[in-house]
Amino acid sequence: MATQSFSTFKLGERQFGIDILFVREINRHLEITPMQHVSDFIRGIVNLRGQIVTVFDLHRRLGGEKHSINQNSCNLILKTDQELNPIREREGQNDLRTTSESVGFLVDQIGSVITVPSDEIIELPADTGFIDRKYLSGVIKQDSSTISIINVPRVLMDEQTNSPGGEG
Amino acid sequence: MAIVNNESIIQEFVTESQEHLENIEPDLLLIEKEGKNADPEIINRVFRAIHSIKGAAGFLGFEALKNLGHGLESVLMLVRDGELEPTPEIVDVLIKSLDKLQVMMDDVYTSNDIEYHEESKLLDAILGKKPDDGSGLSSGSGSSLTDSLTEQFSVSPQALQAEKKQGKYLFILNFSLDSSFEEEYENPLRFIEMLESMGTVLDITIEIDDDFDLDTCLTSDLKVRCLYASVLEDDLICGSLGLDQLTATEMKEEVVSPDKEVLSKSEESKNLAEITAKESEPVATTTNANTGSKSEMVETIRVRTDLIDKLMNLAGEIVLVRNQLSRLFHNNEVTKINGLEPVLRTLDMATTDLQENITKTRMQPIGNLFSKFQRVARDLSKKMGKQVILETEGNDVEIDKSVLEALSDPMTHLIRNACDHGLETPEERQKKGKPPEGKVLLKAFHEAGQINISISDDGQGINQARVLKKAIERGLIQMEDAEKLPKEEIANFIFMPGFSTTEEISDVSGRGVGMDVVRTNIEKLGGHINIKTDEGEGTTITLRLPLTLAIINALTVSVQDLRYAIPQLNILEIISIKPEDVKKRIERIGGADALHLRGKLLPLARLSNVLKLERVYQGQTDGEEALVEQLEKRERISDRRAELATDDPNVLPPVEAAEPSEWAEKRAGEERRKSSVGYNIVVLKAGNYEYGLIVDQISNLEEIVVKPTSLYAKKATCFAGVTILGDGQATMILDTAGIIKYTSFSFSDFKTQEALRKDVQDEIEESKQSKRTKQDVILFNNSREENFAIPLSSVFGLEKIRLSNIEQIGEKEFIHYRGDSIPLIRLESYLPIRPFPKDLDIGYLIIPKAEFGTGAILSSHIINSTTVNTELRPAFKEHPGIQGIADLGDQLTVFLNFEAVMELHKNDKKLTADAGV
Repeated sequence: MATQSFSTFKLGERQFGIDILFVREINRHLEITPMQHVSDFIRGIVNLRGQIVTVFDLHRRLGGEKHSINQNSCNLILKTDQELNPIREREGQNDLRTTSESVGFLVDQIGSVITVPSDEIIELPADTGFIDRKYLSGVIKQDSSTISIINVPRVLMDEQTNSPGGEG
Repeated sequence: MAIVNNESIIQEFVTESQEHLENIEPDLLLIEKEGKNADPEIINRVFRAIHSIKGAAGFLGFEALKNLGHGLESVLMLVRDGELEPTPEIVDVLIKSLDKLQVMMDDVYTSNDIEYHEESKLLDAILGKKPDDGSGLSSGSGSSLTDSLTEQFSVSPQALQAEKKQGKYLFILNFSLDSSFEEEYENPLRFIEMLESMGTVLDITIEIDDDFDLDTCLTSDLKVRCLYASVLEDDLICGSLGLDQLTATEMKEEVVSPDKEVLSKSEESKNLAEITAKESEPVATTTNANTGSKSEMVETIRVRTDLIDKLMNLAGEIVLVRNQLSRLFHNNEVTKINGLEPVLRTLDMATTDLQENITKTRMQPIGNLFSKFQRVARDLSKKMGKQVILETEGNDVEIDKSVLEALSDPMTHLIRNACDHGLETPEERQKKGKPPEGKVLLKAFHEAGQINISISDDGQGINQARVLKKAIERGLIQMEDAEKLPKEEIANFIFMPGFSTTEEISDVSGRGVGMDVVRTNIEKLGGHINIKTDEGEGTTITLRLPLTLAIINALTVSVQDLRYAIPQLNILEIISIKPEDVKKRIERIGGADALHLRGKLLPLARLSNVLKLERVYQGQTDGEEALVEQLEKRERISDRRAELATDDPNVLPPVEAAEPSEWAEKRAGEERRKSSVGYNIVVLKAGNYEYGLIVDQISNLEEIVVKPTSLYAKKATCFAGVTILGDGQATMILDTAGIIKYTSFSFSDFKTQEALRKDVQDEIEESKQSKRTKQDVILFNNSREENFAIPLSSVFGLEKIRLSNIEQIGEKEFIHYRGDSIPLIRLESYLPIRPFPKDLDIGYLIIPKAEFGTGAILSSHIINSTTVNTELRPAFKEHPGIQGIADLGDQLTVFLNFEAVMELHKNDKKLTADAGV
């Protein structure tokens, strides 16, 4: 049975997961320089060892309020599309897509990495709370908790097709 | 297993052929120009280039490319052998065919579908109309061998004859492309290169089976037949190609398997060769030429540009780390480790070197671009019946690849303009006593860390009166102002948007459509464009461009503790306004604040408003409120600034910029509210517009590495890019043109206001004496006794320094200023004045604007800055560095000719002895 690994994290009290193949690193580089005239879920930019990373306020992006940075906050850095290329070929997973530039997700707390059989990823429930359904690709039930899986390409994509915010 | 990755071979073929094609064009133009006297080496070069394209195209099955190439080659061969004179008509056909080759090459996969009848007909016509000696040749050679070869291969009898004439043997090489071939030669192109190094590949054919299809054509074992001419004998050929002649036929897996037929043919050709063996000289030259081009190729390798970009980024990263390291080192004296300093210095040097060299890899000689324009000029002159000579200078000047690429369009436009509108027809020119050929000169040269490119023509110039008339009609300038406008500035109107797009103007101004687009493009590159025209004499357009786009000098400013970088190229000056001057110098016009600056109104924008930062005043209410509302918040900042101004060398002390005294008088009666904070204003230039950006704090100038803005910030036009500052913080680079979108500026309102006030001012002016120098100056001392004045407009900044920080290197003195060591200029070294007092610890630097060159003038005391309106008297002692003297207040003041002083310094023209004025 095929399995999939997810890096889990919390936004508020809710648990989320992201396919580990997307993740380049998780760090606490949170000296974010705010950017103006961009969509409100764009938190700003950070310098990650000489590379500029655009940081998303993931909570805001999913449809919630802006989140403030706490002592457990982390920056979950995604691989760029180029970095995903070989993995995409190897895994044959065509939806492993991000963007040409580095993006990080601001999350409230990082959890463990879980590996589950693919058939344990189930369809979204009818009610996804504050979260816009299109940004989720499924849920995993573990013990008593529910882990919502982030649809990464979707979270990233919209902004490039109908280019992002800025009140002009 | 596939022989080769066909994609990569074809890619390589295309890249290589593109290079060839690029080189061929200028050569052909040269041949056209020289005609009969064309350098045989150049003809040969073109021939070889076409030849290798043809060869490889045949190999890869691009029939159309091969056939057209073959036609070109045949004509060129006749030219090479002196049997055909390269008349303009013939070169024209060659160029046309070359263009078609280019079209095919651009989309090589569909090249076989591209129609080239017309070209081949033209080429055939040339070959056909060639005098009879050609057919004589072929009939002379009329052996059965020649006949059979011309039947089997697409090769002309003349070509065969030519090869034989050079004492070459002819071979037919039969081989198949199979896996062993790949092991041996990597790919077919290599093999061809190898063959070409030893002889000439006359033609290549591939035997195509019935089950041939495109998908497998390069993976299946293909039978290839190659007609080959070489001075080497058959056993040597077999040896060099790595096979034993005797076993060649049996060794199926071997690459070249000359069959019996080949052997017999080569026997025959050997005989032929022996007959003509006496004429062996041409062989030598051919081989030499071949090896010559070979060795040139060894010296360079092809590197992917994205790899270089990555290296560039990494180098930028190292530069940042270096900066951080040295900052840490200098800030923490406690962490002194023995030997660390020299290590850091070495790192510093190595890093700078690394960065420079990597930058160099992106550099390309501008000649690459210039040579492209020969063609443009040629085509234009043909089309317009004008004679144009395009001359180039400074072809070796190197410029960043990305800048070079971005220059192509605007330069083409400018050259087209020069030919089209600038140059007159030959008849007109002769009437004017000019030579019938118009000259367009492209010149590139370095100046002050920038590249200058000028495009000059000796044509009719621009009719300034008519430009001016048009400008007035379009409301770009007031009639009264127009009269006073310096002549040099008139032509600049053609860069105004909308000015040049009307149809009437193109024949009025003599310049075509879209100059504003050209200017925009140049400015996007961080460059400037300038025009100089002499009616009847010609026009020169000068572009000033940065060497590279990736690393620029930028000023860091901050607002509400957020920092932003502003490219230095966009900064005109920095002004600090004292709290008590805020009221009298700033007023509200048409929805925006404006600063009185040397009799002009400069629109002001607050960076905090532009960026819509919270806690800021929103711009639509009364201007007075705007000023007050800022008070509390700014108090804190201004305190900090005042403090910094004395201690931190990175912060500019407030420079008091003066205002016209007339204005002070006029407004004296007005109510004045004391403001306790001043303004820091960065005066910016964006295209034709100038405006001031109010920021909280101005910090240092540093070199930054420009990185593209985030995809998610595409709409935020106020940002031109992002960068990482010396302390490691990521920050945005402001786009001075983009910012305007976020302001409520109405530049036309300002113009109207300005014009209105000018009238008032002019009246005042007229009532006083004319002939006066009215300017804003900074007053300072060198020795305590003498007062000096220099124009404020030429000063970039003032800086307080400790004299103990002056470093002496040899005869010269240097001072650290914003991370750079800049030469210190002591006025007494260049001017006959009293020396700098010896008993001081503190001095002031007067930093000139970049255009005057580098250096800082040392002064003992800055008195103030003021507007003077006074007549200058000649100095007692005439000196180029002294403009004149005048009484200001009770003090005699020496007005310096700043430019001349900087010039003296640049040329190191020191005085030998000191003397008073």
